[in-house]
Order: sequence, then C-alpha cells, then structure tokens
Amino acid sequence: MPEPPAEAVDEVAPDLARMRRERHARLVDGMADAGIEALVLLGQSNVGYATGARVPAADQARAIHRRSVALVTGDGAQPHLWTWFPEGAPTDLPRDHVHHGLALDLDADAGALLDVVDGVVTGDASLAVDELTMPLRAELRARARPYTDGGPAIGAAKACKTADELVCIRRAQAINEEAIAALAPTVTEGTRGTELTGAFLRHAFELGASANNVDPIWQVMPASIADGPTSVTGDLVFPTVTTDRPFERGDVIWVDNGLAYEGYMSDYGHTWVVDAEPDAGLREQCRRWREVVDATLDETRPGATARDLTAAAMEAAGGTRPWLPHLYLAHGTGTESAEPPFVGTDLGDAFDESVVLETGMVLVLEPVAWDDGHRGFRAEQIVTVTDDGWRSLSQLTWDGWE
Amino acid sequence: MTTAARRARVVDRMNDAGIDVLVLGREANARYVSGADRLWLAGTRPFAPGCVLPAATGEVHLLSITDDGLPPDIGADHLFPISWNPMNILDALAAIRGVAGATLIGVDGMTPLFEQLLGATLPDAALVDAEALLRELRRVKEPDEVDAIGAAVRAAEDALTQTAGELRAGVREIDLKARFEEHMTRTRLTAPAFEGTFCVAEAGAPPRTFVTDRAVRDGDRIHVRAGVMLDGFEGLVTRTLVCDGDPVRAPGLDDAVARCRVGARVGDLRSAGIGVEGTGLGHEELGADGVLLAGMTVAVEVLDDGVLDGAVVLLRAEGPQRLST
Repeated sequence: MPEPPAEAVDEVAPDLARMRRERHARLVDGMADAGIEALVLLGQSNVGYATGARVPAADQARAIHRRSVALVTGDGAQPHLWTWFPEGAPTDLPRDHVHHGLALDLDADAGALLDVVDGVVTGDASLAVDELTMPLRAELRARARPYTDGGPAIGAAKACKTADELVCIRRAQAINEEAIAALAPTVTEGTRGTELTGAFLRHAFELGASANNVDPIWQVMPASIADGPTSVTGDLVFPTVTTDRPFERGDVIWVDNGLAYEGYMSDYGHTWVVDAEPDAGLREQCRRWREVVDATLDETRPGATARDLTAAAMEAAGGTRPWLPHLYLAHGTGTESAEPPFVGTDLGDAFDESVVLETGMVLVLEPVAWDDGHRGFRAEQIVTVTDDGWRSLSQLTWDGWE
Repeated sequence: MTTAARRARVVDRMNDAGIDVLVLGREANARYVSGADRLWLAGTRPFAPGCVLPAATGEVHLLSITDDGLPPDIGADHLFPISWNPMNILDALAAIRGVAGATLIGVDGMTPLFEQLLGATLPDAALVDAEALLRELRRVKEPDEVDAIGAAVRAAEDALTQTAGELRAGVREIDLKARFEEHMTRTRLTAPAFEGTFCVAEAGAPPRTFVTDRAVRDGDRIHVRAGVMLDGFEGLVTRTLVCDGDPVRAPGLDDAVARCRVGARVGDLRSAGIGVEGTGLGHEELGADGVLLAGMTVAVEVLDDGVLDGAVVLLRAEGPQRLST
C-alpha cells in the first residue's frame, strides 16, 4: 500500500476547547464503565488529559513536587484542578474549581486534598487514584477510605484519539521533522551529540514546540553487540545517554527524540551516517526495515490484533522478531511518549492477541534491521488506524537510502 | 563525600528506622543512593521499582539493561532489566539478596497496582515513606555537593549571559527560551531543570510562566526563571533582563538573602514576600513549618517593584553564602 502524504505543519489547527470537552466526556464514560464515582489524578499526563492544564516541562525531581492534581467526578461536572501554575489552567474551567498547588509529600497538603474530595463527593462514593504519594496513602488509610486503580478507566479513555488529538500529534511530529531537517545537514565529523541536542531544542522551540520530554538521543551504534555497551540480557543496548564525544566519519547514528505540542508527543526515529552515504549493507537493512513496516501496515485496520501485526512483521523478516526484545514492534503515543497499544512486548503472544485495533488508535512502528557485526538500521513511522486501514502521521525522508 | 559514603549514611538511617529495603521510583532519590545519571525525561512517572537498596548488603541494584554511564561500583550483576510485565520486575526484586523476608520497606511513591503486587510478593512487609527519610538526609549538603550545585548554577548563569547577549527588539519570548536551551548544552551533559520563563514583564501583573510568540521591544523588562541539571544537580537562575539596557537587580534581594539565617522559619520568610525553596538534586520540598538548617541550599526569590530576582544560597552557622552571582 503506497504511503499517503501526511499534512504539513500549518495545514490544520486543533480546536483545543473541543478537544478538552471530548476527552473529559470519554474519561467520564470510562469511569462509569469501571464503576468509579471520583477519580483523583496525580500523573501529569493524566491531569493534562483530564483538565487541559499546562505545567512547564521539568526534570522529574522538580516535576513531582510541582505537579498538578485533578479530581474528576462521575456526574460529568467540570473537574477540579490544583496547580502551582494557574496561568496554565484552561479559561473554560470554573475559577472555583482551580485551587492552589499541593505539596503531596507533606501530610498537611494530602489532608487538604481529601478535605475537598470529601466535600465534592460523599464518603461512600467509589474512589480511584492513578498513583499515590506516601502521605496521601497514609491519609486515605487514616480516613478508612478504600480506593481502586484508576488506570484502566484512563486507559480506556485515552486509547482512541479524537480528531483534534490527532492534529496535535501530527503537529508535534511536523515540528520535530522540520527541526531535524534544519539540523541534519550540519552533522559532520567532530560534531558532538550535545551540540546537536542544543541545536535541535533551539529549532524546535522556535518552531512552536510546547515542550521537550526526553533528552534527544544520537547513539553511535557499535558494529556488534559484543562491542558494547555491556548488555544485561545479551541484546542490543538502545537507547543510551547522549555524550559530548565527537562523531567520526562513517559513524552510524540512531536518532530518537520526542517533543510535544499542546501535551501530545511526537516520536522521530531515523538512521544517519556521518559524512558518508549509507553503504550497500545499510541500504539493504533499510530496505528490509521498510518491508517489515509495509507488511505490518498491510495488516493494520480496525479489528486486527497486535498479534496479527507481530506475525506479519516476523514473516517479512524471515521468521525472526525484527525489533528490540526489551521494547516492542510498536507502541502508542499521545499524552505519554509510549502508551498503549503496545505491540510485541515481553507480555507475549497471548497478550498481543487480546489487543484489538480500533479507529483512532495511534501506532509508532519501530522495528530494527540488525546484522550483528555489521550494525543496523532503525527508524520510526507513526500512523493512526482509520476505518479502512491507516493514515500516516509522520513523513520520513529517504535521501541517500534509495 | 563519595556516593559509597552517602549510601552508608542512608543505610545507617534505615537501620535506625528498622527499614529492611528501600525501593525507589524517583530519579533524584536513585541518584542520591547510586550516583547514576540515567536518561533525562521530563515530567512525573508512576512509581516503579527503579532502584533497590537492602540494608543487609548496602548494595544498590538498578533497573537498567546496561551499565553504560553508571558508576563503576554498580556492576552488571546489580542490574535488572526492564519488563512490560510487572510480575517479572517483582520477581527480580524479590530475588535480590536482602529483600526476602523484609518486614518494613521504604518506598517513595506508590500505585494501586504495585501496592497490590508488592503485597502479594512480600506479604509480611509493611510500606513506609522513604521520601521523608531521604528528604531529611538530602537537604543537608556535603562540601562536594555544594560544589556541584555551584557548578550547575554557573552553567545556568553562563547560558543566560549568552542568551542576554542576543536580546534585542523583535526577538520573541520563545526565541529566548530556544537560545537558552541551546547555550545550556555547551556545558558538557546538561539538561534543563525545567523549561524556563522568558516573559515580558507587565506593570502590576504577577510574573508569567509560559513563553509566547510576543516580540520584545526596546525598554521591555523580561522576567527570567530558568535552570539546568548538571551531574544530577540543579542550577537555578532568576533575573530580570532589559531589552536595550543592562540587567536590573532587585534592591531587596540582599536583605532577603541576609534573612535566610539558620533557625529562620520558612513560613515566616514566605509571609514576608521572600520565596524560599530547597534546591539540590532537583527541587527539595520545604514546608511552611520547616526551619532552615546549616548545610541546606535554598533558592531565594523576590519580586521588588516589578524586578524579579533570585539567588542560590548555602546556609551556614556564620551566615548565608551565595552560590550565584
């Protein structure tokens, strides 16, 4: 199936207010299905999904202490939001639902949160949480307040994207691709990975990225796994932390980075060769990678299972599993850089058979074509499942590879 | 203080509290006990056992597929690989020497799923708050930690100096953030502590947080809050730049710093309009009832007649010492 072109960055714009309304409705539906009347959210991607609240991207060591917190109720009323950054609260959230930020690692604030929860829903309302700080856990136990796991309700809501969510993902990806296009020609012998990171972030923010969520990866690949770095499992190690070691002519670099637009994650992956054209071996690996992706996409449609996709990928790869064993053939993306559906994880074939594709799901395909001793090729393609198959949300370029 | 010495201090405190094992999900806590600086990711992550420290052995075990970039004293035999099946991770955790038979486990967060699985795997173990234990240990800094924080602060200040050199009319707020992020990476391996504020000040309005595509004009004041992570430590910088003029400093900053004396109550300082937050291996929480101790490092911030300004300060018995310019 030929790849239809993805939209350019400015072709479409999301309706953010509509996106928030539709996400909230999906979350309330997911809560009803799970029998949850009150859902307390601490995870930042979950709070963002439920409320639309923005917080500055921050190292985890800061983000956990300056997190926003949300309370979503099953009656469909507007959520409550506690935030250190009220400027990031959507204007359509009632002002009396926006509260001062909480330090949930301190006992007093854990109690203050539950005081509001107890004022909004009755004491016997079924309560779920996505995660807990230990003071919040202690306060729940002190009040004899049982709680369940909110994860499944959130997962059900997030699984299929609305049209506006897909626009945000495409826009994040288009910004990423444009930043990469500006950067790639500058890579040469002597360039340092950290320099690339700086230039990438500069381009990305100038182009309107809302945040960067992972230290960009520019990993110089060894010829073989035994060349290191040391692997606990004997499998290829990827990704590793970017260093300031200068690149050398002929280095094969696996690029992987993600930045966000309005809370939605892009995921760019490709293979670069420093100061040289890809040799015949790499081009052959690239061709095999594309065969695996094409075979996988041929099976991508509503009703197909993740197992159908792994089977197609393995058949195209001659019976081997053409992806990193500690990762996956494909993962979803949305408000998390890797979220369900997961395809080809170590959860196994039975799990993959239970994952059924639906319209609006997003898949980031990231197989690898590796020949130990001769390096390999890796890239990433993002698609969304449509009623009759799939549509691309990424636009990889193939200069020098064909 | 080496990581090994720091870890020994943690183990002493665990023994005092009767804690058999620490199971840590927060990266800053993992950095503190292991010295490892793993892949930088933004935002919160749900709890998962990323770092395990049994008191009986005093040896740290990390969730990682490779020892690449890890301190040499953490051998490959002290790593356990990532798995999408949480039971595999629990099994690896239970197999670590010193974990079986634990009755008190310190954790720095929890999810309903891991709460259930930990209970099933280690049914005799109760969970206690390891964040509180490590917060108390982490907040008093050793000299080498103060040096590391000072280096991170200088990296942030250098990046801001270079950014300020490119400030001129027509530059957008997002361009300033973009330039800072670029300059930040020139200091070895640097990631942001948070994505910074570079916002045109408006008279009478509180400082904004999020940059926009608003273009700066001559005479505009620009509020800056920014920070970098260097070797796992946070370096913060808070300033007010002026387009077509020299940066302005808040006259009240010196007095605010001087009031950050050992024994001062955090809530009293905040009531007086002085922002005070702990800083070190990232943000370190200080409650209003907290009292400043010798050896703490704090970020002090004031908004003085529209000028936003700040300093990073080491608290000493003989008085506060600025680590920033």
